[in-house]
Formats: sequence, structure tokens, C-alpha cells
Amino acid sequence: MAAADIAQAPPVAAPAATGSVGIGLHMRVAWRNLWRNRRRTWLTASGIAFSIFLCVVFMSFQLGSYDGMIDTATGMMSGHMQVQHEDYFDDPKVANRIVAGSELLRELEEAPGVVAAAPRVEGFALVSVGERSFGGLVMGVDPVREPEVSALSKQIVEGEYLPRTDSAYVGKALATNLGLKIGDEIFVMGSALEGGVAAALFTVDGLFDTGQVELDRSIMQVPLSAVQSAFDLGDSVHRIVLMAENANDATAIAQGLAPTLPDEARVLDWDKLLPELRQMIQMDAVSGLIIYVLLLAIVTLSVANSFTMTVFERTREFGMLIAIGMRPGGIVAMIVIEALCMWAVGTAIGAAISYSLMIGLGAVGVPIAGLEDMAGQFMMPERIHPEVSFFTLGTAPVVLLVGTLVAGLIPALRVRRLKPVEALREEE
Amino acid sequence: MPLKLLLQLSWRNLWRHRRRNGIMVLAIALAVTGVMLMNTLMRGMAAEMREAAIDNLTGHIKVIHPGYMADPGIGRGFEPEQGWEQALADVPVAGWAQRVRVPAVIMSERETRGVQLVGVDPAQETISFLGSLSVDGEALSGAEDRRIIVGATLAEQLETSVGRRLVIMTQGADGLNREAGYRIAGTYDADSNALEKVFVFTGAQTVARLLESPAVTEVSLRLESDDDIPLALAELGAVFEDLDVKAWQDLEPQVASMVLVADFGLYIMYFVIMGALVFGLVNALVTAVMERVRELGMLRALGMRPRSVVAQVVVESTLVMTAGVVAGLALAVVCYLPFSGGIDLSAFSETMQMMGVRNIFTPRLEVADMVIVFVLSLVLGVLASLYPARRAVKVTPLDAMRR
Repeated sequence: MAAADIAQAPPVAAPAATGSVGIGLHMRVAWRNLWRNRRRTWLTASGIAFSIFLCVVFMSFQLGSYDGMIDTATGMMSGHMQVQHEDYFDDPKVANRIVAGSELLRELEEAPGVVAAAPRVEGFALVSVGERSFGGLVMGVDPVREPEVSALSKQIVEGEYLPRTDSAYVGKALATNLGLKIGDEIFVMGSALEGGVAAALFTVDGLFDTGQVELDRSIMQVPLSAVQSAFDLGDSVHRIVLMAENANDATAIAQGLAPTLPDEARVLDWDKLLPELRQMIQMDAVSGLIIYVLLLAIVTLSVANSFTMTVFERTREFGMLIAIGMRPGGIVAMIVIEALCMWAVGTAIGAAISYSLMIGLGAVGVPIAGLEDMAGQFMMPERIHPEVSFFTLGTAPVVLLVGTLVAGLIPALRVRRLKPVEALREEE
Repeated sequence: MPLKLLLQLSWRNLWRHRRRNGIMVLAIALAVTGVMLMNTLMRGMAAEMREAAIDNLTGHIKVIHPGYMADPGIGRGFEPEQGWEQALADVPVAGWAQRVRVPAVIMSERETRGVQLVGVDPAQETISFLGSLSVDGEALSGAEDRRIIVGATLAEQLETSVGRRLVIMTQGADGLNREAGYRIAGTYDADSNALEKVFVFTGAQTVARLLESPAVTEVSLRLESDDDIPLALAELGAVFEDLDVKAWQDLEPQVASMVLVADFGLYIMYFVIMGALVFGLVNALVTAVMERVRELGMLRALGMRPRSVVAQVVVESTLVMTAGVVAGLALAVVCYLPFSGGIDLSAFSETMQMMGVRNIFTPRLEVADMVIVFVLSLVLGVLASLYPARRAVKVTPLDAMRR
């Protein structure tokens, strides 16, 4: 349709040939029209640029912070996936165990997608030093495999991480409260598998400090075999913690693992291990979405306003064009192309600034200053790396492209009702 | 020029372009409604976190031993003098409670868990969540009650029930272990499972007997209003000289920073969204000025002062802004009212619990925030009109005649 319409529209340039030149001509006319009112074009384009900039920056940071949150939260203790006894998650008691622990561990280490695997046994126990004591979770871990799945071993502030079979790795807060220092002996007592008393003696060889006093006070790690024998667990384990290459693959890998597991075991991905993490991300995503929708809706309205004014001012011109034979459809097409050009100018500016900023910051990351309290509670990492992807960079421009086209089209459609004679009489 | 005439002129000018100004009003209203509704959610969230934090045995103000936070135990207890509360005669106090709170190990026949053992006087606990708990079985009858109440979740984990006995082990002031068996009077249902797993309550005198110490570890105070905190802090500081007197903001810094975020959030959202809007507003105003070059030139030729021209543009901009803001605020109130009783958010329950918020979430529309949005918008309306007004003043009668 375009070529035919343009062939009859002489005011700007004579068409050299039909066909492909039609669109080129349309573009040229529209581009020139756009700059007839520079101020308005710049203002509208700036509005587009501004909102694209904000959306791109916010989305990149938002999605970037999710990845950081997931990595920090899963890296602390839970890992990307865990294989547990089917009842252990809801009822973490000693009896809810996977009996053939080391065999399953070997199988899981070979499983596709699994990068690291580490077994754990856990029991609640009374930790005593001399006459002082404290209740806490005693976690039996594999000193070699554990550091591959959790960050706790890296938060060491004194001593070594479980060098011997009777070593204990204790939180600094617990050590201070109990008056413990490296080399001291601690006695651990809890309820064993069949209701008997589990008791074992350990030597403190390392202290950790996570910055979360509650955690430091309530957890200690000791070698796996010591807990297994103290709690009469034999070869049983409570959790096998698994890491994937990327946290986002966990769900798919977990689905693949599920059929291969023994009857009493099940695999949980981080989504299920840390349900509050997923929900927090969803809630944050929803509130972000509301802001983006508002921002883009408002810019679309202001583009619509700009074109309403444009169309209104050019009534005479359009009447003239129709009088000399241009079809209303051609005028509509021209206005829509003008809208497109407006979008292109705004997007070029907004994208140029925001893309270069995000690609730069995405590489180095941005430290979160002054929010350490929040960072601890909401599982935030220390640095946010804005996510640079087609989604974060492309969504705002694409949504606005549609918005701008609609905003141009609605006032343009009024042109179809234009009567040339009345339009020509209109005061300039 | 008299203000009335100015208003009349501006008003009529606006009605000359209904569609254009209508779109502007719609855009402003949309922006204001969106910002206000987001704000009600954030305010509601912050308020609930704050309430929950104060309810969870913190109160507005707490008196503790300086070493208690790092090493909680009866060793860090103190004995408040009789009649200390008289120092607060001129502060409106909702209530206060003295408690002994110590870490303890609780054991059933089958399971062992770590808990906080809290000795209370139930008559004083109207100020905390304990006062409004729904208890299955019997509640504590007084400070001398020798039974315990435990959270429903903890009872489940310990595989025990009302009427059965549990053994509690903790440290006395001398650092030696104390151990005793207690009958469960009732199990309680709190908003958060985390609370249920942590707190085990019994009479204050029972704990004193177990620990062989008359000391308490905390005095918690609830005030009628947040505004009285500084006064109460000062007066308590004078009574408890060697102890730490702390406001909830210091005791729960995470919650306090969340409340602060909600305060800033309003401004951030407002400026982000209104920033995008200003481009459109300036655009419409400049167009309105440029269309009226002839008219403005004529008015100037007839003797209208530049000042009045500026005033006219400013008034037009402010009128559009006011119409938009009023419509937006009204729409926000209309959208808010159906939810003012609370929204059921059980689908998000784990996060809510983690952040200390209950399942029924109540958004809050604060009048103060509406006033802030209104005033900011008027300022923004004036600012947006500055450039168009400058253009309008530049129009000379000569320009106008050349058109």
C-alpha cells in the first residue's frame, strides 16, 4: 500500500522509482516532519530515553541482585540441591536418615550435572566445657568434600578446618560464651538413634565467624564418622548436599536425579530448601513490575499527547495532502513512521547511556554500602553485578516500541475522518 | 492582574485543548495512584515488621546488662530496685514486664532441642505477643506457676503433648548446670513458627528457683507512642545507671532499617515516575505557549505585564497538576479502601514470617504521605512551567504581528 500512496504524494521529493524507494521516501518525509518541531521532538524523545534508562538500570540491578542472593544463600549452608530422607525436611530427627550413605554419595558424585557432593549427619546436642554448657546443632561433615558445597569453612578466623578425626570447628560466639580456645576439649551429648545417649569428646581446632551471632552460637562442625558412631548411625547420612554448575540448573538436575534414588530418599532443589528465598524474589519482582508498567504507561501517554498536538496542528497540511490526492491511509502511515522515528531517537539515546553503564558495572559489580544489616537478613551478597541480558536490556525498548506505535496510531486514525475542505479552512 | 482574572483566563485556556490536557491529567493521576498504592504496601510492611518486633518480647525500650547480648545468661542478670517505675511518672507507659530469659536445652523422651527459657509474670505480659496468644490447654496462672507452655511446633518436634513432662537444662549464675522436669500446661500458636520453636515460658519465680537467683535479665517497656522514646530513655538511663537502656531501633536494627527504607521509598518512586512525566508536561505547556504567540503578543501590546504572562503559564501548569494529583489521590483512596482491612497473603507465608510479618497483611495509607505527594506535585508543577513561561515572556508584540 505504501508505494502506491507515496507515488501520488509529491510535496517533498519526486519518487525516482516505485517499490523499495517507497519506504525510503516515507522515512525521509517522516524524519523531516519530526524535526519541524525540534523542541517537541527532543522533549518527547528525552522522555522515552529517560524511561528506557531507568527501566534498563533497575531491571539489570534487580535481576543481578537475585543471582547474587541465590548464590549467597545457597552457598552458605544449603547448597543447590539436597538428597534427604523423605520426612527429614519437615521433621529433622535423627531417625529420618538415608541408610546406605556412602554408596549413594558415590552414585550422586557420578550423576550428570552434579559438580560437587558432600554428606552430612546432624543431631542436636548439649555442648559442654567443664561445668558450662550450651545447646547446639552438631553437624558431622566430610572435611574434604564440605568446603566444595558450603562457605562456612572459609569463614575461619583462627586455627584449622577439621584437621583430625576428633576436631571440632566452632563458632567464635559460642567459644567466647563457653570460654573456649583452640586446643580445648569439648564434650558433646545428645539423643542417639534408638533413644540411647550419644556422647563424644572433641578438640577445638578451628573457630569461625559468619557475622550472624545466632548462627555462630548454634552450630558446630565435626568429622562425619565421629557423629555417625556417637549417634549409632553406622553408614547413614541425613543430607547429601549437591552443587550444580549454576543454581538455575538445579531444578532440572533434581528432576533427573529423582528416579535414580532409593525409596526412602528424595531430592530437594534450593527452591524447596529455601522457600522464603523464592518468595522474596517473587515479591520483589512484582513490586518492580508495577513500577515498570507505570513508567512505560506514563511515557506512552506523553508520546500520545505529543502526537495529538502534532496531528491537531497539521490539520491544514493534511487537508491539502488529501485534496491533492494522497490517501488518508498514507497519512496514517506517515504519522506512524514519525512515531517510529521518535522511538528510535529516544531509544538510541537511552540505550546508549544505559547499556554502556550496565555493561561496565556488570563487569566490576557495585558494592552495597551502608546496608550490611539488611544484607545479612535478606541474604544479599556484598556486591551486586547488574545482569546484562537480552531480557534486561531489551524489554523496555520493545515495550515502548509497541507503546509508541499505538500512541502514534490513535491520533493518526482521526485523519481518516478529515474533510479536506473544512481542513483547508482551518486557521493556521 | 487580579488573581481571579488570572485563574479565569488559565482555566479557559486549559479547556481550549481538552484532549491534550485530559491526557496529561490522566497521566498524572495514574502516576500518583501508582506511587501511593506502592507506598501503602511498603508502609504496611514496615509497620507490621515494627509491630511484630516490638511484640516479640522487645517492647519499645529494654533494659539489659551490657554483656547480655554477647553472652546471654543469668550471669548477666540484674536486680531492679523496688519502685523503679515511679521514675516514669510523666511518661505515658502502656505497660512493662520483668523477665528472666536464658538459653536452655529442652528434652523429651525422644528428642532434644535448644530453646530460650523465659520466666514471666503473665499479669505483666499484656505488652507482648504472650498476652494475646491462643493457648491449647491452659495458660500460665501467675509468676509462681511451675508448669511450662511451649510452641505447638516445638511440641510436635519433641513428640510430646499437653500434660506430659519435659526436662529443661540450663546454667545457673555460677556457671553450673541446673536441670529440672516440668509439666506442659499448654501449647501456643504464634504467627511465626520460628517463635514457636524458640520460646518456652514459665513463671518467673519458677526460673528463679531453678537458677537459684532472684535476678532478672531484662525489663521491657511498652509506651503509648514512639514519640516518648527519647524521654523514657533519658529517665530510665538515670535509674539504671550501670545497665544498657536501649530503644527497639537499636535492638532490632534490621527492622529499623526497613522502616527507613519505606520512608525513602516514597521519594524514590515519586521522583522516578514523576521524572518521566515532567517531559510530557513541559511539552504540553510549551505547545500551549507557542500556539498562542499571536494572542500573547496582542495581550502584551495591550499592556499586559510580563509578570502576568509568567503567572498565567504557572497557574495553568499548577491547575493541570492539581487536577491530576487530586484525581490520583482520590483513585488511590478508592483502590485502597477495599483492602484497608487486610489482604490474605498466606501464599507468601514463609517470606512474611522471615520478615516478621503476619499472614494477613494490612496496607497503610498515611495522610502525611498524601500531603507530601500533593505538595511535591505542586512544586513540580511550578518547576515544569518555568521553561514554558520563559518562552512566553520572550514573545514580543512584534513577533506576534509577523506571524
